Formats: sequence, C-alpha cells, structure tokens
Amino acid sequence: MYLRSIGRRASPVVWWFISIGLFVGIWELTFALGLYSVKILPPPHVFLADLPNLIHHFDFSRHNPGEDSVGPILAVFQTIFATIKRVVAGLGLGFVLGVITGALIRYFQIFGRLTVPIVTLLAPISPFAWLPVAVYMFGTGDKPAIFLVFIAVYFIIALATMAEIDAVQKTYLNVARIMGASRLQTYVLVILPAVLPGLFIILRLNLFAAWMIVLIAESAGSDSGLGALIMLARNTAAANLVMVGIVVLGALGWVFDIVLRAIQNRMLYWVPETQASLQK
Amino acid sequence: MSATNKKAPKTRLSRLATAAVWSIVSVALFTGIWEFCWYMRWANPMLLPPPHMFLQDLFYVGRLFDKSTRLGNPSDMEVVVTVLRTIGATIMRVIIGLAAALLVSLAVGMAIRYSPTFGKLVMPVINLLAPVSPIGWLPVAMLIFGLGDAPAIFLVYIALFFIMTLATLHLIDSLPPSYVQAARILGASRLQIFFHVVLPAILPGLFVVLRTNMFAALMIVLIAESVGVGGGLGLVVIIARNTFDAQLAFFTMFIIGIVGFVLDLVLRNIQRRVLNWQS
Repeated sequence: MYLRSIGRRASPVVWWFISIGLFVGIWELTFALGLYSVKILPPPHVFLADLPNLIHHFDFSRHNPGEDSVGPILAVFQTIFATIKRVVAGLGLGFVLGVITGALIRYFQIFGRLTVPIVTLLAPISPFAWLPVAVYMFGTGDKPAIFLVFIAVYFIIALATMAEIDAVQKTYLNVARIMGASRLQTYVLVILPAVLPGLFIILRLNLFAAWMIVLIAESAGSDSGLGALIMLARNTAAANLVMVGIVVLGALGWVFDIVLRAIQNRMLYWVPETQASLQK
Repeated sequence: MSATNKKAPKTRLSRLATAAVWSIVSVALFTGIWEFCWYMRWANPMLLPPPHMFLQDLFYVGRLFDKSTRLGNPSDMEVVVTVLRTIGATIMRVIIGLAAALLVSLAVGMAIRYSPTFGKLVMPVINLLAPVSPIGWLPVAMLIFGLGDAPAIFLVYIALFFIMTLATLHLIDSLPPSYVQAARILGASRLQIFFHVVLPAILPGLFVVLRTNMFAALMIVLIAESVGVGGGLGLVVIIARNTFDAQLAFFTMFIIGIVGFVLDLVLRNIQRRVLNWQS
C-alpha cells in the first residue's frame, strides 16, 4: 500500500527518464550504426562535449576588431539578453498599442470606419515581408528587430481586441449602464478587464511567431543575438553549434512560456484558474 | 447613442455598400497620406516608394522573381508565368506542410490518449521539443533535406506538429464526458469510440488551431525560402533587401498580403463547409 503510493508519485519522473532516455538512445544508436555523418546530426554526447569550444562563438566581438572581448561566459548571457530584450520590447509595444487601437476603433465610430479597412488590409502581410522595410527604415541593430516583433503582434492584437469587445457579455454592459457608468467608465472599468484575459492568451499563442521573427531579424539586420548565432552556424555548417542553438532556444521558449503563464495568473487574478490556464 | 441606430433598419445590400464606401475612403486616405509624404519629399522614394511607384512597372519587378527571367528580354507572358510559379511554390509548401502536420498530430495525439504507455513514452519528448523555435530547426532541416521543397515543408510541419499535438490532447480531455458515456452505453468498443465519437468531436476545434497557425506557417516557409531552399516569395523578399530594391520589396509585400488573405479565406470556407456538424 505504502510502496504503491511512492511508486505512483515517482512514476512520472521515471517515465520522463525512460522517454528522454529512449529518444537520446535511438539518436545515439542510429549514429553508432553509422546511418548519418557527425557533420549533419551530431548526437548529444558529441555536441555537449564540444561545449567549451562552442561557447566562444557567442562572443561576436571577435568579428569586430575595434571591440573588446568580455569573455565567453558573459558573452553567452549578452547574446541571450540581446534577443530577450528585443522580444519583450516588441511584444510589449505591440500589445499595448494593439489594445489601444482596438479600443479606439470601437470607442470612436468614425475612427473605426477609417482604420478597420487598413488594419484588415495590412494584417495578412506576413511579418517576414516587412523585413526589407524594417531594414530600410531603421537600419541595423535593435530597432528593426523590435519593429518586426511589433508588426507580428500589433495587427493580431488590434483585430482580437475588436472581436473580444464585441463578445463582452451584454449583461455586463447593461449593469454598468443601469448603475450610471459613463461611456469612458464602461470602457476602462468593465470592458478592459473583461477582454484582457482573452487577449493575453492570444499574446501567448503568438509568442512563438514573435520568437521566430526576432531570430530572423537578427540574422538579417544585426550582428548580435541568437538569430545571428544560428545563421552563423548555418553559414559555416557548424552542426554542433546548431544543436547548442536549439538547446538554448528550447530552454528560452520554455522559460518564456512559464513566465507569461505566471504573469497571466498573477495579473489577471479575476479570472478563475481553469479558464486562465491554456492547454497544457 | 450612435448615429446609425437612429436610422431605419437597412437591407443587406445597402449595408454592404456602406462598408465598401468606408473601405474605399479609408484606403484612399491611407494611400493619400503616403503619396502626400512622398510629394512633400518627406518620404524618400528609395526607401518608401508610394503605391503609384511600386505598382507602375509590374513587369520590371516581376522579372526579378526568378533567375530564368532576370536577364535577357523575357516576354510579358513569361514574366507572368514566373511570378505565378513563384507564388505557387510558396503556397504548395504551406499547404503540404499544414496537411502533414494536421494528419500526423491528430494520429499521434489520439494514440497518446488511446494507449497510456505510448503516451508516457512520448509526452516528455514532445514537451521537451515543443518550445524550440522552428528557426532553430532551420539549419537541421537544410543539413538533412538539402535544398528544394522538402526542408521548407519539414519546417512548416515542425512549426505546427507540437502545437497541434498538444491541442489534440487538450481537446480530447475537454470532451463532454456524456459523449463517451453514451457511446459506451450503446456498446461501442474503445476503437469505435475513438473513431466515431472522439475524432468528429475534436476535428472542428483542431481545424481552428490549424487556421490560427496558418500565418506562422506562411512565415516559416518564407524564412526557409529566404535562406535559399530554392525559389519562392521568401527568396524575392531577401533579394529585395540585399539589392536595396524598395520597389520590389513593396510589390512582394503586396503579393504576400494577398496570398495570406486568400489562404485564410480558403481555410475559413473549408471550415464552414466541411466541418459543418459543429457550429
């Protein structure tokens, strides 16, 4: 009885190890059988053993003679931080301006009629197609990357805000009106809290598109960040570096999702837990 | 009280006409401001060419879509065919990738719930690989599949597979228990329940997930094309950037916008027509 309950509690961990072990095992086995070259798909023990050498590639000052090197460990954090900074800035800007635009469209009818056709016209343009425009307008560095993340989020959030405002329960609005709330009060105190949870879920769903576009922007218009590193790995066909890049990206994506989920649960405390948690 | 509410109820046609008029006013205003900025020399035509500039010489920009027409003196017909072939290549990659992801993730998701042992073996790996950005897979795709259609399709597949497998699991878990109970009372076997109850019940929801991720799929195809898997609109975008050809860049944006819009419209219609058993 007691043993069984221990077994049940331990079983997820055991299954986790079995599953990951099997995955890595098949990978290592197919490699050991010589099914593919180490230059194409290096197994974990190869690229992890190469880590001390690979870490130096994070240091982009090597390519710019004028810059001083900060050392490999700090360079890893600098590279990751550069990318995170761009994603967060773009997401924040896109989310806030998108919600404001969507709310203004519904608040002022004339503004809405003038703006909605343009928003629906520009929304289906893939953020990637904006890449040349971003580079023309903002040159290189942080700005084009932030702009592209912004574009990837802004139109989606603006359209979603409109849809969410339309879907607010009529009872909420009726109650607010009966209690004598002005139009502005209704928007700020009733509609905004009612639409934010849904918008946050949409933001989380589009997080991976934002991650995708920031990496591309970095590889095309910047010489720092993880995107530049991955393109460096591709251009030099450095398979070990590619695998390390994948590991770093996976870890970052995972941490980002956890952070956003925590923010969602903290800030949107008025939503019941079951509704706030997205598919696990 | 808004102004429209006071008027008499409108017919469908007149409502459509009002919407059309407002669209034209809106887009005209947008274009007008853009053209005005160009006219006042605030916007550099080398960087931000106004619509009349990037739409005036379609055959010149169309030539740049493929290397077969870039040099020499191609006829107008050849240019049109080149442009259409480029667009077709991109759309085909998106659609095949989406279809593959839908089928495989549906199969894997159902298998995970059908066989708990399979689920326990596979779930940790899926959870581990899901947060990796598809861009991370890009070099791997090219190293494994080389050039051509395969790496682009693989990337669309990778971008959607994990999301849609997790969505399948979520949809199966949130099925109303009464469906399964009713089927069981009627004597359905486990396999029958999965094929005749679970599958039709989750398909509409899964299709919505597919549709919302279509734009991400389009983006990853464009990205894959831009690093040179061979042809496609993504390559044109990156050519525009590398040659600083703003005219080409805006024309390509224009076409990519139309492609995105049409793909969304088609998927929306499929959803309404084919998956009509659940509103």
